[in-house]
Amino acid sequence: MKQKSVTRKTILYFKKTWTLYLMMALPVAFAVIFRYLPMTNIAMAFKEYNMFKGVWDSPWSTPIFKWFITAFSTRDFWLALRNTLTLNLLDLFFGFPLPIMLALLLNELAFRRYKRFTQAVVYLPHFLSWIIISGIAMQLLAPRTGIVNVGLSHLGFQTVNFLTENGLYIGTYIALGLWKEMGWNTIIYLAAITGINPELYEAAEVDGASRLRKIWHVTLPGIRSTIIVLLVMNLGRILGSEFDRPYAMYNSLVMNVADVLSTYVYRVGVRGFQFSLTAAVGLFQSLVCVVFLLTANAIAKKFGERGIM
Amino acid sequence: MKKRLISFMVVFVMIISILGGCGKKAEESGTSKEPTAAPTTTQAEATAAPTEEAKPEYSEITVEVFDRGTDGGRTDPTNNYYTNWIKEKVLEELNIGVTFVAVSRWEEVDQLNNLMAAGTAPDVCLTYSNDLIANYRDLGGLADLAPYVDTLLPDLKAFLGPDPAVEGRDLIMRNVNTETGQLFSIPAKRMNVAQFGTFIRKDWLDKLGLPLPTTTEEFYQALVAFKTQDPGGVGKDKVVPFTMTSAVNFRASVLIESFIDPNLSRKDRWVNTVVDRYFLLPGYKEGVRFLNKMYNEGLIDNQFMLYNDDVDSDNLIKSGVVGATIHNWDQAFRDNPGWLRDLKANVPDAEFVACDPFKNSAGNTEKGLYDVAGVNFFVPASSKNVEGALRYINWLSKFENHYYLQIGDEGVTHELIDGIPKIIPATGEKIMNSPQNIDYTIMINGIDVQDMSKYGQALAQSYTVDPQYIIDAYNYAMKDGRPAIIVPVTLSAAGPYTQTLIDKGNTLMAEAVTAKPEEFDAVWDRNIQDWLASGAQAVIDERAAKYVE
Repeated sequence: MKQKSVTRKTILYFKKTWTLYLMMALPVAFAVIFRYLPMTNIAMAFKEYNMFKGVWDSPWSTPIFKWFITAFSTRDFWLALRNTLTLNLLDLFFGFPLPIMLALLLNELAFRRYKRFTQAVVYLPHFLSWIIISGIAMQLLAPRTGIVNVGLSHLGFQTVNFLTENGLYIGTYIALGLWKEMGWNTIIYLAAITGINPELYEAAEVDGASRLRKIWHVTLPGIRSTIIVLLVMNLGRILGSEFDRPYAMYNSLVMNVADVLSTYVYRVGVRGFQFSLTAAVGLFQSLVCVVFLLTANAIAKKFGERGIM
Repeated sequence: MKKRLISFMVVFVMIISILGGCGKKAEESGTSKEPTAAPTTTQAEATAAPTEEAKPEYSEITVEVFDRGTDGGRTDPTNNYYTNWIKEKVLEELNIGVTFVAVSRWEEVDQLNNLMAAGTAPDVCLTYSNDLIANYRDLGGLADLAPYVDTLLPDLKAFLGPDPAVEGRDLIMRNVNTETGQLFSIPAKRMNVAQFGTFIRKDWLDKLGLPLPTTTEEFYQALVAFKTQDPGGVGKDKVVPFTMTSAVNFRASVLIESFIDPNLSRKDRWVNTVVDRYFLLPGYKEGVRFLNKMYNEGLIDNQFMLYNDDVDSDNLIKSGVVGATIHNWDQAFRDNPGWLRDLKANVPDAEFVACDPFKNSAGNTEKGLYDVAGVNFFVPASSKNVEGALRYINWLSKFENHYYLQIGDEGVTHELIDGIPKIIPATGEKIMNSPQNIDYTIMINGIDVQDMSKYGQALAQSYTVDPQYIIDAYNYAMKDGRPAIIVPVTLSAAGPYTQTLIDKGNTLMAEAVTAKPEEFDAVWDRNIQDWLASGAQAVIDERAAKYVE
């Protein structure tokens, strides 16, 4: 009797909602076909991939982890791994708090028009490609013809090799990244700030809180969960790497600190015809990212946040 | 009820539109394949009638053609006056329908990889990358052409002639595997093997009362004078006595290579040459040390390592601040990039001429020449019409066919001086996308006038500058020229190493040139160790094992 009612309930449920499921079918099909089926090509990392045979007809590599061993036993791979971690950690260290501060500052601007204008200006660099930015960097910072160095030498100072000395290159790389993305990354914080209940500010005012106090005790706690979510997501990307940024910026003098995994994979794997090696390194990267993501998420949850999963 | 109906309709429309999209794509890819199949059958029936027997059955082939983009691409490379001429003639004489497939010149390797992997590569493909061909060959992606050489390619064989680098063998067999007898690719013939040129500002030398340099020391003194006396009046902080790019091994080639031991044996030279770089040859390091000295004295543009292509260096030359440089033997006189033309526009009395100063320890200006074998063409294993492709190539090798494609119509693309064609800039539909239609005449690099004694004049006439510039530059480039060393063995693809070795080579050169003089040896030795460990040693070992006299 009870069973029957359950089945009837299910039937009733589906009768009511089948159109919704039908609408879901297409996006799900999309995800399956374009996101999950291609994942089967991960097999490439364990095969002697031959482009004329395709992934499935290519023979398995012996030993099965051949390409991982190959990658892990080259010095260039470790260099690229080290550089990826260094650059991403620096990016995170400088690039994560700054948009929060900028969002807080923007939020405190009283004149709406001025606020809008400032916002537009700080967003703008996001829309430039790295190729253009590296061109601008070259015009500004090149040792002989860059405007900055021309100015320095006119003032009687020594010129600075921003782009060709290892340490300075890293600084330039991080600074340009900050300049480009800082404004854009404030958007999500600004959105979160508008979601804070205005009554809290009023209450704080009644209690005699100063502006800084309000930021510290109302705004920041109000966007805390957003900050945590973004931090978790950023940690998930710690071993991932953009391609165009390092590729457009590096030159042969700074390869030791500038070559990251994505450019390593491109040069050695794609251009060198070692597609299986490429797949192996990519898989390694993804696995480490997932581990980071899950760990960060678990820690966030432990501290009572919602996390992302 | 109404709501449900609407949502149902929404879903329905979505499905229809998406399926519709898929359908269209399928149809498109379908039509591109169809013509190959359908006409074959209908034509086959038609030719089955005993009226004509000599002509083979109608078939179709596809042919790769480089798309050079905006610079030279003034007409559609797959559909223009010349492709129509080819299509008509080939259909008439061989009963083959030709379709051209454009591949970007600048993404040649990537696009060819995609086409090859998808099994849709054209029946006639070409590439300048020998490594790429070796990779395809090792993966089994190329058709063996050896059985057809004598049957289908007699005209090509005759045109390419004997191989000057390998005694007793025809050039057509250059890439043959000596063990198996298989032949997977055929090279084009370079009519001209001149490779390097050194250019210097003659007007600056004249102002300083200096002669055209004839030794490395004179060249060096000229650069010092350019820097300290600024004869062009461009500003002492702006003058760039010598410009190069991050490709130091090329842009300082003749200078560095003149330090190599001239008595080096053929074997040692060949075995220790890795991805066309001579870093390991005795003496090369001293050449780089000389460059290091020039750099530390401010004679070389200190931004060279930031130039990943020629553009920045070209612009410096054109703006008139550069004293000297090294490049292709005729680079200064080519319409593209147009060094001399644009330089004269900026500095009217500028003179940029070829010179030949770099003497080696034997007292001559030995320098490398190009191998006579140029771009390689091949037929993919996936080709459905290997014979048709080869018939087409053979047809193109006949003098009357490629000669017309190279020079076009008299009065439009060329005029005759003493019976020797001079190329003139054309306009309208007969404009050529590449010099002498090199992209269609795939087995020739340089104009073919059949009679080699006329070649010098034809060459000098093929530029828009005073022929004397060309004659001088050509003579300097060929003087004491060292022919390319060709050892007739099949090497395995250096593919996995090539890009790494090229990149590390650039790092090696950039670090060595910019090092402090007292650190030069340490920087050089450290980078050479890295270079050897990154695959160079493996390449050398294979070459040493396979070398034959």
